[in-house]
Amino acid sequence: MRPVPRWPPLWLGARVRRALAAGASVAAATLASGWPHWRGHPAEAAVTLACCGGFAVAGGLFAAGRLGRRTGRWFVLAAAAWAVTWAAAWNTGAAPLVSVFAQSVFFLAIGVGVLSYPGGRLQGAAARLWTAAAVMIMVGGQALLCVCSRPGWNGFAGSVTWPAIHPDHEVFDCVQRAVTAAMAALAGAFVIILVARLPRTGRLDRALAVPVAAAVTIGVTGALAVQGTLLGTGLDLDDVLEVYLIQGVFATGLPLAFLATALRTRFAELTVAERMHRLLTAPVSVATVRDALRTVLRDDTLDLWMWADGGYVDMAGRSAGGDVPGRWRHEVRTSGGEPLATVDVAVALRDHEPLVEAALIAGGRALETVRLQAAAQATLERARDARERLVRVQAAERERLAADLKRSAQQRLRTLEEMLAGLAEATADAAAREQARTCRRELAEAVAELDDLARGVHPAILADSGLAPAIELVAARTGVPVRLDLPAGRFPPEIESTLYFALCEALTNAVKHARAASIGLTVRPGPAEIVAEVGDDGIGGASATPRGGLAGLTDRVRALRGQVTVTSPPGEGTTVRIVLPVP
Amino acid sequence: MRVAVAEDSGIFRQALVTLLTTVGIEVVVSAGSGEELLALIAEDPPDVAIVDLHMPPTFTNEGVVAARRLLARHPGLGVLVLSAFNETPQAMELFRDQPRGVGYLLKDHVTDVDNLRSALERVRSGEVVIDPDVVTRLVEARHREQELARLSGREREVLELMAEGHSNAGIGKRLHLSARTVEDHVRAIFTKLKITSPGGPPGPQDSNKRVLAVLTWLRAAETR
Amino acid sequence: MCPRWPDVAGWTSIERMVVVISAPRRRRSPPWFGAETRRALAAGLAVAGLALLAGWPYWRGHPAAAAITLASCAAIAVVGVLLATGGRTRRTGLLFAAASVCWAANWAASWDATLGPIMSPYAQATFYLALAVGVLLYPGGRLEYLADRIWTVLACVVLWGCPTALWVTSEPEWAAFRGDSVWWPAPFPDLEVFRTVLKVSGGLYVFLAVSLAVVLLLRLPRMGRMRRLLILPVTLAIGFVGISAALTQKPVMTTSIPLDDLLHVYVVQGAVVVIVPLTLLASGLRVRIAELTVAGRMLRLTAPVSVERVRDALRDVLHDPTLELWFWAPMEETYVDTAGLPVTLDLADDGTGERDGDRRRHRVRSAAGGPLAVVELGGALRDHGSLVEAALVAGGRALETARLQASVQAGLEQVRAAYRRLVRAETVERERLARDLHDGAQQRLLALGAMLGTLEAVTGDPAVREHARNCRGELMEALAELRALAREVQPALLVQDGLGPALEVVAERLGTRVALDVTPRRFSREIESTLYSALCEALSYAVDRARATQVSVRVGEKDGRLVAEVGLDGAAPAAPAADLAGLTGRIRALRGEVEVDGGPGTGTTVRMDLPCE
Repeated sequence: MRPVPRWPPLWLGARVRRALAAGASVAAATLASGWPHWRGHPAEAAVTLACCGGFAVAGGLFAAGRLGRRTGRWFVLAAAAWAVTWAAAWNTGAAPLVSVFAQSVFFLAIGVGVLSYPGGRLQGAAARLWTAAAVMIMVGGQALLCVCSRPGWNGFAGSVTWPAIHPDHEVFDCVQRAVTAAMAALAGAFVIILVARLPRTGRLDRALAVPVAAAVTIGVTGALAVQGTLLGTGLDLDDVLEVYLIQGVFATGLPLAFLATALRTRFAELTVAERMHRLLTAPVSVATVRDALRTVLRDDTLDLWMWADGGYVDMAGRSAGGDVPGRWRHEVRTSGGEPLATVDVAVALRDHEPLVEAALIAGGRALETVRLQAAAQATLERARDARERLVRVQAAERERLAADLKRSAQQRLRTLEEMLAGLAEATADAAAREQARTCRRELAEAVAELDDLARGVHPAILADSGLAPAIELVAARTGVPVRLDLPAGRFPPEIESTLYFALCEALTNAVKHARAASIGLTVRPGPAEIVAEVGDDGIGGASATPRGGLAGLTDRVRALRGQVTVTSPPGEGTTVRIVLPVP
Repeated sequence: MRVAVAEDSGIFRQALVTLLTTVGIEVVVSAGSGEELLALIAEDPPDVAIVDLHMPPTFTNEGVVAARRLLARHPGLGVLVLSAFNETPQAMELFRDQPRGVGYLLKDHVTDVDNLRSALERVRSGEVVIDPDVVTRLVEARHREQELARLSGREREVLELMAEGHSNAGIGKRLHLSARTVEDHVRAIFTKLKITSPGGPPGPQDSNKRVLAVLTWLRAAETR
Repeated sequence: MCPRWPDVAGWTSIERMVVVISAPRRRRSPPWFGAETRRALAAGLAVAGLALLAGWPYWRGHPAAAAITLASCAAIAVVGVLLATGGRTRRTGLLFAAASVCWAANWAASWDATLGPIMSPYAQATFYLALAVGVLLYPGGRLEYLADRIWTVLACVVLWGCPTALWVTSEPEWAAFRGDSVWWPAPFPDLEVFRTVLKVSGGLYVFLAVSLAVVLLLRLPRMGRMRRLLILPVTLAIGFVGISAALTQKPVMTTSIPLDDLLHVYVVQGAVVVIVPLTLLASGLRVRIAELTVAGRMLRLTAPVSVERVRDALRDVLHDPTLELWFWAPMEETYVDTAGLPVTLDLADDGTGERDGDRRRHRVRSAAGGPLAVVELGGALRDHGSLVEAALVAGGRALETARLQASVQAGLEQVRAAYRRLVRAETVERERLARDLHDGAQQRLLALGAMLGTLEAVTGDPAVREHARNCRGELMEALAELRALAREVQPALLVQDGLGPALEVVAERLGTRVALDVTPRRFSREIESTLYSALCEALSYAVDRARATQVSVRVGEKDGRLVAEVGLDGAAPAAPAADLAGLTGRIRALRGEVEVDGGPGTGTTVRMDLPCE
């Protein structure tokens, strides 16, 4: 058995450890920067630390993952910015100034992170435009606010470092309203950009993207609504910090949604085999495998070609074309590494390679079984064909042999017979005449013997006149009355000879072993099969599996894809039923 | 001449005995197998024993076995093996040790009384007899392969008779040639065909050894 | 979401499970959002609502505390209801649900009025009791060990006794309640006694927490591996919760503290406690994931499919190295072990059986409902019915594939055996015919020849003699034809001396030079007969169709296979394979192969290769 490593467990790999470390350090930074506030508000501290830590952990996981590395880095940056935002709690020196800009960076990082998922770059002009606008409004607007206000208006102590160049209440008020409105517009644009992206994604991606989009919408709306409470100038620090707290909680929903999506993806990868199993019910065919793959991978355009004779062909036997742009062709191999099939999926599924891989392993196994089954069935069919051919060849050979026996030697012996007759008449010598008579007797014996042999191989009457006259002849020689019901028509030679010998054997058995007083023999040709039956009124109790003479004939009947059944209840006679398909 | 017969088929044995008796050959023992024959003639061996090649129990080479035992037990006894088929390997087996007084005859030729009588007499006198059909087939095989092209027509006739076991005198009589001429022909044949005797230097004079040498040469065609 | 245990009465009764590889269960909702989940979420919301109501005076001032507490209450309720849907974990789940309600009720203290304050300590005590007993019941559904039961009784006495002692000996103000309408009977208020009661209670709480940890630790070594994996996280969680609860309770076990301090402690305790149901949930998830991923693992472990691999894969996946698997062999109608040897299994009619000790047997059925296999498992797996079922379904698929292969193989074997019997029967018949021709008709005709010889000898009439000679000539011709026929039917030499001598005769008659190199070894009659007729066919093909002048025949045996090669110098006609179809069919029937090589000008080689047993 393969040893399973116990430590570290599967879920605690290097990336998870690194993400946890990032989370812990961000949480510690948050604790340090917000310390003056936390001392009085342990519950808020717990919530914020958990949110910041969770944010960083989710970001760290993403940064180490396959998809959305950039997004992950942006999220870690956002978490760090959020930690710095809490520096406002110290309310001295440059801390509040740093804090307000850190808050801007926080939102900016989240926005950019979401927009650059999963490609890692800002896709489309809208996204780039939004980013530029966001930088201007978030950072520029904040700078403008700082320039035209005193710290006290923002809820900070008067002694803090503050670039109050033109403090003017009116202007501050205006700018604050303008910036808030611009931010609301930004948030709206952000949601619109995300929603506009949805139709362009694949079905699988959409299922994953919708929760993220929902989380973003809720988070952004919530953050804005809370920010709105900060309008005006009569603020104190605790109000500001409370807003920070609530915004942080809202924002945390976002990386959690991402994380949940990632988990769902992983879960889908792990359970895809089970789902394929449920979808692949017997009888499994190439079509059911393809349909299962379509369902599991949510790609209705998925197509499948099987490997056959050095090339890939579809279910109708047409060979696969070349690579198509916008499609992704994936090869499936058997467990032995041989080519098995190739699958053509939407190129969007390239982002879900492990899922496709796992589904194809399960589907591949089913395909392998299908192919094995088909191959085995074909081998079996070939063997059956060979057996059938053999019986045909044998029947033909026997017929030829019997004909040869009759034709060659018999012809000459008949001539000899005439010559001997002539000799006996021609001579006057009594001894010679006597000897000639002896010779003729001997010759007659020899000819009779050859006749017998030929009949044993293949009766001439069977070849010449068919089954009915041949059986009639046999029945006439049987010592028991036989009721006959025979068709007049002819059948293929192998069927005639097989039936003839089988029926002869059955008749012999009825007379010899069953001690029958009367026998019924019928042969009924149908459109698809010939049914022959020999029934007697004998003692019955014959073995269900015929031994002896009938066994070899059973083999022949089966080789022609027919059946022999023997019903023989004790005391009620025996019925042998032979069914042969008509070719 | 006194003859013993071993033949498993009763009909043929009966016919053969009748035939022999009719032509004045005394059949002293008539047996169904080689074993029976050996037992019946142990006390009073006849001049010649006629043995069927295929006899019970295996119907393979009982005749050859019986012939060897008869020759070993009764030196001077002639043995004529009869076969229904023209089977060269069996014949070769019979002549392997260059015996005296052994014959191999096809049953077809037994029905010809003259043939039979002549074979019996030659065997009794210690000659080797081989059925002309056997020889003919061997010679034909070689002839097809152009091996015998170097021989003249007369020499080919001499070769066939040699293979049938005839002595120089016998050959001369049949071909109406002088003994000396036959001897020349024989020497020419041996030289032309490069026949070597397995039992020593070519012995054109010893007809029994000569038969084997010729037969071996003829047979060698198949495996060469 | 949580594991669903098979509903069984107890350990000792016969446990029955028949795995049927069924058609897919169509689910409209996603697998993680079934009726159970919806019910659980509803329960969570209800309990959270209750908690909101109960603690409203406090929540107004402490939104963060409210969030934490509501979330923890809801989480406990959700997990409780989820667990309650499982068979064995039903009691644990119900206790957890009860605990969540208790915790919500506990917050009634914040109203500082009427019955709230006096109810709150009981609710808190019952909360911890339900939680601890719930964990002790997990996952078996029973208090299995004596220590568990003793601890439970002790906990009931202490946790309900202490609050009673509290209100009996105190005024409400001493216990942090100052509201006017507080209902507080206080029959024997005595500050000194109350202080003692508080001290003793604090000590007892710590003692309970420590003893619970000890009881839980004592259980661990007695469990199987799979079970321990489930229990360990929960044990750690409850141990941590118990000790932290006892420690956080300690500071408030003094007289006349403010109500806020007390509620603050409650917030902390509630937040800490939530890890217990979360751990349980994680365990349940792990079990479910194990079930869902077992198909993929089985798939990887059973490639390429064989019965032995399936058994090893099941052992690996189910962590049971003693697992045994017997496979149903439909031909023999019996179960066979992985080595293919038949075994007799004592199985009840319903497809299950119980062995000595804990071991159990499951009958696995195929999709069609027929028997497929029997699996014997260790008792440790009885808690993992769904996992076992999932693994057996996946393994069953592989087993069905294996059986399919085996049955097709068996069918093939049967057809081939029948073929061999047909060939043998034909061979025997030909031998008989040849012998009849030889011993019967031929001997008779030879006798006739001798009789004609006699006739020739007895008559003096030369005309008669001439006539008789003619008759003999005719007879000889007839005999020759009969012999040719007999030879064709079955050469006597083939039976007697084998292929070599028989082929010599064929070669002699062929009219073309044939170099023979044939092994003197004898083979079965069918092989000799088949090869003889195949070689005759090849030779006549060489002469008649390919017009060869040089033919070589080599027959040799190597590594249990008989190899015959016919080489000819003639230019092969267009399709030698078609001309040699009969030969190919005969050789292939004996599981042999035929290769025809060569092209115009290079000569042709027919190579036959067949196994010789």
